[in-house]
Amino acid sequence: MKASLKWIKEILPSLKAAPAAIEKRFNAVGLEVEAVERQAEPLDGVIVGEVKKLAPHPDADKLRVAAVFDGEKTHQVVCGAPNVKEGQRVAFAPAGLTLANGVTLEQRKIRGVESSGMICSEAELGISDEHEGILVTKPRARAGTALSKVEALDDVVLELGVTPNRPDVLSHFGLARELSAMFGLERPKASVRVRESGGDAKTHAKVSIDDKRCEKFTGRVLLGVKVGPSPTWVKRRLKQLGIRSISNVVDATNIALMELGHPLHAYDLHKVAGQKLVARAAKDGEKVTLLDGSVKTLVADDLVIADDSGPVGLAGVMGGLDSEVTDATVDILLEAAVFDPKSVRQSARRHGLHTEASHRFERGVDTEMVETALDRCAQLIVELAGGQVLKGRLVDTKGKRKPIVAPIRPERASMLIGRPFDKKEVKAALTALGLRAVKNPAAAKGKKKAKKKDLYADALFFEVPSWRLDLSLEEDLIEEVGRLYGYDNIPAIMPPGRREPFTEAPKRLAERDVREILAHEGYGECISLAFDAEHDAEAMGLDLAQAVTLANPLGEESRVMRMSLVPALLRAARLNQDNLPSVTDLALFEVGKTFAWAKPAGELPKEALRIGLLLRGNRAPVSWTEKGTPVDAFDLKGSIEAVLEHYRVEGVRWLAHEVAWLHPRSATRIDHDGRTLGLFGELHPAVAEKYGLEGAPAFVAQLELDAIVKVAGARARFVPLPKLPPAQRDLSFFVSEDVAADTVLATIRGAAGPQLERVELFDVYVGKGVPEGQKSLAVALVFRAPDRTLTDSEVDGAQKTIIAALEGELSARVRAG
Amino acid sequence: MTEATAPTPEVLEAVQRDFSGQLADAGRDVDELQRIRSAFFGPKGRLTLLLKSVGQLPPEARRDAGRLTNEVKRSLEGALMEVLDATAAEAREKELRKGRLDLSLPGRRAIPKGSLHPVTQINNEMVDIFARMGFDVAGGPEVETDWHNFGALNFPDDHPARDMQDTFFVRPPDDRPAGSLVLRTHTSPVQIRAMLAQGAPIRIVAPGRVYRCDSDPTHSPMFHQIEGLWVDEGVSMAHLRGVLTGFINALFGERGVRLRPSFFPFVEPGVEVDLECVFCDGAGCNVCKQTGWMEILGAGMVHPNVLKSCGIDAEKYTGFAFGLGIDRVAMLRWAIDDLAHMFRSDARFLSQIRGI
Ligand SMILES: [Zn+2]
Repeated sequence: MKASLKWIKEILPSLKAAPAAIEKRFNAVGLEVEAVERQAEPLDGVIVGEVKKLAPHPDADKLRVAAVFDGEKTHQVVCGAPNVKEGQRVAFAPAGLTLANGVTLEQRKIRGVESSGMICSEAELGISDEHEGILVTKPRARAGTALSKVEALDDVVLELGVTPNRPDVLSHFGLARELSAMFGLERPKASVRVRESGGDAKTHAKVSIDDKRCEKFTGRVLLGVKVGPSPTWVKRRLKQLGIRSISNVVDATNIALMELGHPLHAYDLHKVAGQKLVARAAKDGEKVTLLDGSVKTLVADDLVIADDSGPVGLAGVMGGLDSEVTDATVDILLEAAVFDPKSVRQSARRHGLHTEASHRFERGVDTEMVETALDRCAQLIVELAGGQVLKGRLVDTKGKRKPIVAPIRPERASMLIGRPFDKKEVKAALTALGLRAVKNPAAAKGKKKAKKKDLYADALFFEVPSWRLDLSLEEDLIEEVGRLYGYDNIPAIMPPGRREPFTEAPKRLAERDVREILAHEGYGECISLAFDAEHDAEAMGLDLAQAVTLANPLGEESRVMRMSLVPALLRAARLNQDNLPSVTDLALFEVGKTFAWAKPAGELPKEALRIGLLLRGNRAPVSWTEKGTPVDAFDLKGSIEAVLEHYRVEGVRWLAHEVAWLHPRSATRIDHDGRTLGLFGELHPAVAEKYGLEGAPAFVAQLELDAIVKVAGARARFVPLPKLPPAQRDLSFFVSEDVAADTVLATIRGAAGPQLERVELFDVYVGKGVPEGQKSLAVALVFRAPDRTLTDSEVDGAQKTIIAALEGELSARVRAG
Repeated sequence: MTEATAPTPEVLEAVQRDFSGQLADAGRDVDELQRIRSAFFGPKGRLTLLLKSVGQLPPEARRDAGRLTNEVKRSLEGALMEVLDATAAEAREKELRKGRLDLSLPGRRAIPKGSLHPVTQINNEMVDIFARMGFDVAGGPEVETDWHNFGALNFPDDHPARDMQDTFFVRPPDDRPAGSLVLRTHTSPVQIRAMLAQGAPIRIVAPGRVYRCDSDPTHSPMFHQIEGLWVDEGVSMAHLRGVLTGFINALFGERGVRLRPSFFPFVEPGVEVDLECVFCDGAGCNVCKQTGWMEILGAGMVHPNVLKSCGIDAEKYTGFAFGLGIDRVAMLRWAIDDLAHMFRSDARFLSQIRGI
């Protein structure tokens, strides 16, 4: 909401505070000052010029050449305005000045005549929409004086952030009222006396309510007005607040709105069929053409204002085009009403509208302000456009609201705010804000029903004024007391220690640990937007029937909540590939949730906490020490092992797998007792192609962090260091290429007996010297007994058993050992 | 050449003189020094022979002669060893200076360094600060019911307060009405879930992703918030101020904190908390629009309606809640100029602020 400080001070003349002090106070009470416009600033350098002489332009009929005196010297200025006259004092911008619109005036020739500077219109100076003629100021003004001074253009306009609970300050009157409380001044009164004349309004028009969503419907009839442009002060005032000047009658409704906060609407009385307005529910399919020219098809839930022939406006949102005030209008029906906030909001949203009126009705208007606003507007129309206001208001109402009474206990206020308040302070603060101290309503009614214990027996009670729709609970009143006291005066107290007993310290979140592990493994953490396109899920081979779909996505590419972390990583790889220079050495990870509906769907979708990994390019960047070794699936597996090791997960099996996004050569499922801990391998070339990855293959994984944490092993225990030396043997052998390494190791462990402490695979070789279809493996075996040194023959015996098992079970052929 | 004579003082003195002369002549010549060593102290060396000859002296002369000869031998041998050691040390020094490495070359990294996302770093820092004040960490779903995200938080249906948060709606998979499922617009529903599960007293923080359907240079459809909640008997706004001042000082260093009244449906009173501008220390600059302050978080005393919808006695318990954007703090911390960098996974961005 934009507010003119001058206007506020007109309403509250006792307010003497400087703009900076007012700004500070607004912030302190919760009306955030978002911007400050000082009106005089853009007018810096614009001065009063005296038109000494005016001569026709030799080559242009519509231009004239003026001699403008600036108090010291005379400038030759070419001017096209029709209203410029000799002897006038005008707004003069000398050459070299930059105007508010950013244009810098230069000395130049206009149709062959030298022109230096410019005689300006109000629009050119940004002070109103007036652009027809130049600004002519006071006839006695001294040439050379700052224009802003002479014209009193020194207002300060504040842009205030008004939260939705405070519709009462969406007007200059409301702001003045709030400031009166803040500065301890007398509260302003909004009383208007209208000069009525002529006949009774009721004989000319009628208003009525036919739907309870309209609480009050009032009107006034004005006859003989002359619609035309508004005077300068109106144009300037509207311009300051960012409102377009339309005509004196429409401008009057806007001025009244900005002054008192109540929306008003003026109808051309003779375009209202039957001169009767009714607030009623729309009929399904009814149509109305609104002021903005749009045609809306209404539904039964819409509340409309209608005349005998049909809807003439969407109640509380926008008036209709057909009954609009035009230059030809002579007689006016002026409307001020109160509509149900919910209904206005639903209608506005349904029809995609948001107006000054709907903004206020949605938040709630002051029901006691309606008549005042109506009268103020009627009076203003007569002031601006002439005519007469007929006697009496047209009124239909559904009864008066019962005022709200709320309690407040000073001790509760003290406790909640953290600073003692006594009854006097509480009363002073609330009274300043317009609340009225009343007796306990329960006691007044003589209710003798003794409740268990009446918490509010000693409370103060206050009647809430009609404009404060946000106050109904004790906490609301406490907030008002605290707000006026100033939150900056509240002490800062550190809370006492924890009262709840400490049990075992909470575990660090798995996602935090895992992030640190992977960062140390050399991966960069990504956070990507959790939206995917449907084709992303399809590329991952996922069932779209389970997708969590947005009803209002930002675009087609972000319609579903991601079902996999992989697509975002592939897009990241593509983005880095497209960088200049291209980045293809990549190690990225993301820890986050994926979303899918279970079958059948639960209350909420399943959110699985997962880890996505992507590895690509060289293991280390090419440098003077690294010649560039490309990564492969084993680099990725190593990082996965680091994660599993952290959680001491044991008994994992690495099983060949088939999935749409992984290369069949390396697609692997990490299995733990039938539970999948993750999938990984080389990215399927078709998927790489879809995401535009060229060159270096990508290796990707998606791990199930929830599942990994579930199968985490017990806390590590210290194993005493061995006191006796081990015996070591190496063994190398050929075995069929189909035999998996972990099968070989399992066979060795199974055959060896308890004295085999460790077995490590230290060489795998395929190629020259190895029979076709076979591979050569070499293992180191470490034997040890806890209580004695093993003899050579014992170790030899164990080794023989192992060899027999390898040869017998796996058809291995031992080469050396 | 043999020393036929017995080791008399005169003979020993002559040997000493001779040795000193030779040692001086030898300088740092290692071969020459070795020759002197064997000539005087070797098996056939002059002092070795002189020592042997002591045995042939009459018994009464042996003791003195032996002592004297040994003294001379030790002294000369010591002098020689000193020169030999010094020579060896010099030679090693010289050797060590050969083939100097060019350590201006980059160091070798076994594994290139990874990185934690700036948001993760700030998140961890915040959680740690609150942990020191006794707050536990809680979490909740990102797809929420309208009730948890709005209703239980005292947002009336069809109220302009809902416009404060542009909401993404999730299509229900069943016959629930449209609008009954949302992407959480704030981390506040975690408050509701935690209070329903745990009751009061409660002290938690809940960091996480939140969603709002707008996208422009300063807004992302997904960003991160951290929510805090403390409910207990006698919790006041002074405590809110204490905790948030402590938090801000721990995060940004000692600086001014300002509380302004504001409105969020789930708190009453509601406040916005400003921080003395981290760029100009309150003097006024472009970032803070010359105000000297920057808005950092929203907070307030938990609305009694919220406590009631979680089954907590609002007369007995009071509490405060707060929420702030993690991304924004990360942007302030490292002067990141565009929010979009955060979620684009550009390696050039990620590797700048590694955090490990
Ligand atoms: Zn600043």
